[in-house]
Amino acid sequence: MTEVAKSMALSVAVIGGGRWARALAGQLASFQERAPERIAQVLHHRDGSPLEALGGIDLLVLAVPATAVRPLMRQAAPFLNGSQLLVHAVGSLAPVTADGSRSLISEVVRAETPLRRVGALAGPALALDLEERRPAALVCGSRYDEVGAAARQVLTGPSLLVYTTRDQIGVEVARAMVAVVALAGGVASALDLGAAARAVLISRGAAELARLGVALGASERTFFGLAGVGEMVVATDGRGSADFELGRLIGQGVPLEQAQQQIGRTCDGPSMVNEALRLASLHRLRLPLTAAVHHLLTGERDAESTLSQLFSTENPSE
Amino acid sequence: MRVSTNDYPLLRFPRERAAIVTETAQRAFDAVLARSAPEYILNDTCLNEIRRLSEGAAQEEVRSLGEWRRLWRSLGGLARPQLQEELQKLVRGYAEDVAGGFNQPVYRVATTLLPPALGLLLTPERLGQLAPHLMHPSRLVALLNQRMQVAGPLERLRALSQRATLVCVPTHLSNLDSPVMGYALQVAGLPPSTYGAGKNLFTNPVLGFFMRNLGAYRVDRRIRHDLYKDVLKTYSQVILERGYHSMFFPGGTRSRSGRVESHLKLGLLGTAMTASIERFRRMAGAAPGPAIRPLYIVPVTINMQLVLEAETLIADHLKETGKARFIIDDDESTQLGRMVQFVRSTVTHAGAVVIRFGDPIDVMGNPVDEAGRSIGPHGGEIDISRYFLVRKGGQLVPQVVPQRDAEYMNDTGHAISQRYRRETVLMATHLLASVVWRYIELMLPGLDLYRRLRQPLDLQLEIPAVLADIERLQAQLRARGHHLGPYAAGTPQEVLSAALAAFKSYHSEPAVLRTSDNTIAPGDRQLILYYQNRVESLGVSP
Repeated sequence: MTEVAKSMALSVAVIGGGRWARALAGQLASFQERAPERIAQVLHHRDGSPLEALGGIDLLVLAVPATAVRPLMRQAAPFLNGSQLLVHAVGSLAPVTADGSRSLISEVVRAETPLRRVGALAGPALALDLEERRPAALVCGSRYDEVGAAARQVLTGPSLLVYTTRDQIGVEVARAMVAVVALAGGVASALDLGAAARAVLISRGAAELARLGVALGASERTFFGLAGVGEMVVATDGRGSADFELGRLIGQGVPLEQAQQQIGRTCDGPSMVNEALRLASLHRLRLPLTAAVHHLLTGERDAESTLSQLFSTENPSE
Repeated sequence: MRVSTNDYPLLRFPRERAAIVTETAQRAFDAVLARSAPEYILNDTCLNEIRRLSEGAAQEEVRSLGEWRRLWRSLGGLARPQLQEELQKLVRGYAEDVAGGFNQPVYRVATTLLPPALGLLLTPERLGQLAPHLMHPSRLVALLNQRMQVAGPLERLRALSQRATLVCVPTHLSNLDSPVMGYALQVAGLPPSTYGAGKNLFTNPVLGFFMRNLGAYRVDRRIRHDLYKDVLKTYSQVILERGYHSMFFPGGTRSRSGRVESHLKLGLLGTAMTASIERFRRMAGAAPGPAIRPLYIVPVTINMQLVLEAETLIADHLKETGKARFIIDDDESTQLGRMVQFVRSTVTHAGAVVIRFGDPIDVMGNPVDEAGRSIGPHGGEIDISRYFLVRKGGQLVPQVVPQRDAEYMNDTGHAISQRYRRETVLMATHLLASVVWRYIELMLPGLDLYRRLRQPLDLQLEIPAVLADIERLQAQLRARGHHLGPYAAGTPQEVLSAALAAFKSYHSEPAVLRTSDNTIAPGDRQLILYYQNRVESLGVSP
């Protein structure tokens, strides 16, 4: 290890107390031991930790619930500065504002703090995969090349690959909207529709979300990559996704509220369905799958009739 | 507080010109060589110029077509040192070509002549009626001062101009904008500023003489190759670093549609950022050279009751967006329009003008406080030099990173266009056009824009209804915090009268005209569209 290489080591802070944040912090800590030339320091910042400590960090990894982002960033802002980079691993959009819209998490960070070089992490890696060092991959989307390079430098390891893209909007929208497909996947699983149905859901879901993403300024490709299809495969396989569980209960005829209580975890799906439909009407897009899930959630239709409607109205030209 | 006439940086220009050209040539040469080998750069440049000069007429060229051909043919036989020498000569030639000039006696004459001349162009009377005024330049100045308002935080900008370099970025409507801005700076008590003017304007012997001597530098928009653009950007950066207040029109060209610009061209404006990075480098001891003053961007909106070239601009816009649909039958009228416009532009033109300076922002688009400190989104002071730090040999050093800086500049461009919307001043003509256009849309529903402009339409609008609409629009604009100009802020009746009088006094077919005591009717619908676009681009409709 040369002196120059040593000087390039980054200090990293993982912000958040959840399982995903713990897994990321664990991954980083073990990696730091093996590759100190890449990671100088790992700080795990949980609720109540002093925010001042974030000031000297090169790369912040934000892994908190979407609702916590704005208040936390507002508090941390005085301690942050323009030389710092941030990637967030928040798989949702910011909560609804007064005008009924929701922003990307990266926009909230930039609106509340001096940070400009921000990126988003997404991809088929569950906390469990990191904990057990099973092979997985993430994609870091950022308009700034340094952000992707930094994420790659600290996170790439023997079992984790980090890809980069400049399509930050695509990564954020894809990651958030995967919840819609996870819900649908849960319903399909309840109806025992099989692998073909799941494949249809994923490929048509990706196409549908891509239309939405493109309208928001994203690149279509991103939705067919790790952040889109990659996440959908994991989210519809029945392990670990709260939205998938919610979909399964709804597919079994349990009303939404009751199903949510039964799960006891935050489910982004229902609110993402609403947001997708709001954006669709704003940009005049057709989102048949999302609309079908919406009918199910509101109880307007049952699973069987939703399915037959979906198959009768879908425009079969791919 | 006024800026003393002996106090502005452009005065130093005659003394510094040679040094500026040399520094520009050297730095541009180093920069291009760091990117590519001299044979590639020369080859690319020669081929570009040979192609351009073979296709179009040559005018005031740095080199003739024959010279370019000879150079290109000789490239293969030249050794590295000779190639570098050729490149150096070429860069030097471009730097000389770009460099402007400033001559204080000429500036004095121009600042005495300019107001009456502008008065002529901006006052409402026809040329015949103006004749008596020509004997009394002071009357024209008084008229001009009535016609032109300069607004904004002028005191603050004057103070800032004493210890910082100001980069004014006005919206762009008309070819009159640069002289109008020159005059506005003078009225505002702000120092004169240098700017890049199209080389074609320099070919006019009178105009060229003044431009050359008033601090304008020459931009040849016909040259497309990178080497020239590099020299141009380096020149702009060098003069900014040396503290010359500058002006860029980030719209790139006059707004064809009449809308407030939202897509900005940031190339030359980006030199404000690279100059700032150089400032931080020198502060950190990472680069040699004298200290550089801080740089601030000042968004400015130029708002005109009537736009000199409105007819041509909107026709041009529609041709561009409508493509085939619109081109069919207007070839002759376009030429005729050009001629009419040319005659007019030299004669007279009615209208009030409001130049509104916005609050200064830093090169990252952040607001700055009275002391020039950058304020972050959280309301606290931020150190923008940190955005440019790069880790080098264990240390953090400010440095240019093109990909990063281009993204930063996009954000700054976004901040500027937001300021434009906030600082736009709406005039009576805009309000009336907006109201009348809405009636046209109602009368011709479901048609596309082009049909809406051509479909026969017999529309007489009752004045009381129009007045009510104007009042509603005023209320809407006020509620959203938009500025209303001198007549536009008056009673709806005043708005109507002012707008009708303005339209009638200038355009060959008025946009809107009075048809009876109680009615008005749309005239030239393209003009209505043009003037209402100003309001529409702010996201407001009556």
